[in-house]
Amino acid sequence: MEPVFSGGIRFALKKNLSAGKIGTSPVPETVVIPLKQHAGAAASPLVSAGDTVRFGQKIGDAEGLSLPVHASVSGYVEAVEERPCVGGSTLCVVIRNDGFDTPEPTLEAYSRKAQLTGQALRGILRDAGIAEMGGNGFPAYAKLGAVIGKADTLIVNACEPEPYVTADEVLLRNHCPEIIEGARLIRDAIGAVRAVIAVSEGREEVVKSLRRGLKDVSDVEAAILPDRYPQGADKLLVAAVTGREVPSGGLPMDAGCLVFNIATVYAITQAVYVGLPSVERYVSVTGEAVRRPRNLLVRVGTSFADLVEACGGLREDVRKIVAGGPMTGRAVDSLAVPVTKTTSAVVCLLSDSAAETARPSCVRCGKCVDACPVNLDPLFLYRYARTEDAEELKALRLMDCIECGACAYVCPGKLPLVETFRAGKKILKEAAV
Amino acid sequence: MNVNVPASPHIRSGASTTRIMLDMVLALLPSLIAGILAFGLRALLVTLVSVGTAVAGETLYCLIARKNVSVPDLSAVVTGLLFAMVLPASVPYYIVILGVLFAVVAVKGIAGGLGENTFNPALAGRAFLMLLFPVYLTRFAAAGAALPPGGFMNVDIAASATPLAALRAGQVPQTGLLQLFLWNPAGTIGGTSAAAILAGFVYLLARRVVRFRIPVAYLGTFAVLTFAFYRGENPLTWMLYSLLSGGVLFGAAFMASDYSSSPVHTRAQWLFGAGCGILTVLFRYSGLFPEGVTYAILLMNPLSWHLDRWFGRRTSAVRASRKADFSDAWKPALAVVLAGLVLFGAVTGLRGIRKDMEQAYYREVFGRMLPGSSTFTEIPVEEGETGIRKVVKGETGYVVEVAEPGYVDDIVLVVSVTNEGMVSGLAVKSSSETYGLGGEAASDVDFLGQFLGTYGDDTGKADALTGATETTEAVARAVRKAALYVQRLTAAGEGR
Repeated sequence: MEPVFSGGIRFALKKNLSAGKIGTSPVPETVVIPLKQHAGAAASPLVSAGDTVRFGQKIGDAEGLSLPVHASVSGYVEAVEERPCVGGSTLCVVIRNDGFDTPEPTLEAYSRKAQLTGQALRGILRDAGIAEMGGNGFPAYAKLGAVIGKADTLIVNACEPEPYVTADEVLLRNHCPEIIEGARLIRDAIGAVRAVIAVSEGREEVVKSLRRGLKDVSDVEAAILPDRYPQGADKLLVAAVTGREVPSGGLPMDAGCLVFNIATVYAITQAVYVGLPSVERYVSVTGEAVRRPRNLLVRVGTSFADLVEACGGLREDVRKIVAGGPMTGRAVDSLAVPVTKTTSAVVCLLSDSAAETARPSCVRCGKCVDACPVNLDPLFLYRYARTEDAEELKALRLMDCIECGACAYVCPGKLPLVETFRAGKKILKEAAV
Repeated sequence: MNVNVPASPHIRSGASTTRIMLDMVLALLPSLIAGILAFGLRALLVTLVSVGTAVAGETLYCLIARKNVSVPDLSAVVTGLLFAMVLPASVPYYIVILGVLFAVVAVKGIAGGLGENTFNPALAGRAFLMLLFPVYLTRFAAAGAALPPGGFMNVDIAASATPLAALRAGQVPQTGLLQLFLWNPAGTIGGTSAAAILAGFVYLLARRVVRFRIPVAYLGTFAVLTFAFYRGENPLTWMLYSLLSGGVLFGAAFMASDYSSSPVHTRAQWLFGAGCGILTVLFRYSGLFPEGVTYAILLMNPLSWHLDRWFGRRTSAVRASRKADFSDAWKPALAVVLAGLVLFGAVTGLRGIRKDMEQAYYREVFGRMLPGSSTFTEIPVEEGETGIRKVVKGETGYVVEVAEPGYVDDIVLVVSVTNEGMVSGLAVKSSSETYGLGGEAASDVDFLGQFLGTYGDDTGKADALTGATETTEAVARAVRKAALYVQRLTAAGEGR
């Protein structure tokens, strides 16, 4: 299938390292649960050191655009303090695990036949603390609430275009019925008419699982999309599935669509039908530096060290550890950081092909222009971002940049393109104020 | 644990600037080898001097300007190679050194280094030399002539005509087309074999170092225009000879597609290539030099940035729609208009001075050739006359500039003829005849003197120059033509 967007890249996906392999979940001695795992305001702690907490108990919450945080184990609170996390030090609740998982009935479990209104579902999503699990952690309730009665299509994003990462595949291969149910539930709640599950044609097993799952289903569709990075990006997904265009600077809802990552949809079904808040997720622990790459169902707050331990440990010559996929994830310098709601993978690499060069230079080869999936001119944006020319940056639509990293991946001059664009966006935001 | 924590992405493709430059070097190798086979050791030495000076010059510049030494990216090697490829093997070494230093320091270094230069460094270096030493850059040794490996300040060679020179004169060259495609050792080092150039270009395409648009647009436009405005009998033959002669293939393949001096957007690239093609044809047909590739590409270079802005801006994240934006087009347009006004003013202002100088020159030179005349006015040449280029009337007679095909190229004579029809003076204005084969015609007083006092009627019996029958006959025909022309003029004037 021809991609509907120009540009993008194809690379060795290296997904077979971990694909289809599921390991035993580690049982952490302590969990470190950050109070900010989502976009929006950080939650304020509701517990303090010495308190006893139950599994699923709400331990943090806040007003406004924010999400509550729940205990992912039962035990007692050791500390509420700043701890190193992905992306910097964050206030965390540290819980010593008593190993019993004594439950706290936070949420009501609905029957599978239950019909929920948009507002009811929105309330559950907020109470369950569900963040968009494939991307920036935007609160799912806010995303859903904005499109009730306004979107006609729900897209379940199971493309996962990042190399190495296979956590989303696990869900499709092992939990396909739940995903389909979840898709129906959300579609009906927001009043949409279509529910589409989008996967990449390059992953044969995944496509097969989806086809098998949808064999006797007529009201949920499959979209088998081209195997090209970054097909999973919202704007490109909407264009591929509906043929509609998300306007420059707009969101999928502007094109009548709601896009949820498959892990988010799974978390929603767990919240609605099981009554489980967002306290666990699948994480791919993979990369050449991991001795036995696997996918693990992990409690939020488990340290990367516990994850790696459960996968046979790391090789001595590890060069880079990335939280998330290698194209858009964040590198970490310590295994002490905890898994959050948005940690889709821990990728440990032996070689650092993106190591900084002494003198990054632009030869104007234009490969970045060809690679950009959203029709931007990275080489010109780079120049204008360096000279902080807000006018030109705006004219060249910098805000449409999805930070997929395709330009930086192909750049022979090894320019720090994505970093520079993030700085450029800040300049634009400040200029707009 | 020794891990890196930079920003995303955390993996990159294996592409690197050094690899691209290495590909350029590999792509130029076939042309270099052909050049060495054709012109011998000297071609290799010119290339080594060029590359060595480029590397040394860039290193020194980086050290002086306190920048990171950029030599490891091999871009200086490529500039040195490209520069040598567009030179004749017979250039003295000091000229090579001057030109390549200009390229890497003035054009590339001062502009900000790799990727920042507006102009193609190798071509700018060549243009610089064309202004200072046009002779060395436009004389080419005959095929198979042995070139001395030495010669730092000067090299003696027997210049020979290139196929391009023949085209320039409106003639189809003697060389066969297939020969011209495979092996044409009469030009620059890199222009020896079209086949070698194409091999290198195909390699670059296969490696995805260059995209095909600029070269294809360039050669396509060039081909269409030479086909449309052909000379000689067959448009197709003229077009093919035009494509295979001179530097257009080399320029399109390796120069026009240079990254930093060409646009990056699809439509801008098509237009850039087409512009190069149009200008090359224009300069070939009416320029000062036989070849126009250098100046054509150099003129298009500064437009790259604007072409990208005008035709490259894409308005949608998903669709390929583009919006041409000419909001700042007035800047270069204004520059062109201003430059035009300045040139026009200069030409108009200088016209009077030029007339005075012309009169002074005429009095000085023509006064000696036509005793008794002091004011000279140019009169139009009658239609249907071939060879008569210019006629100037004085009180006692006429001075006629006449061209006649010689052994190699046209011989141009200035002949003064009295009102009585007698040849009173004679000078050779230009001659490309080779030494020992008529080259001395211009300076042999006895040979030229025998025509004085004649009426152009018995020039057929002129004493021939040794070993140069054709040159002798050409001079004789020219004198006769001038004398007869003036005799017809005076006859008409006196009503005889």
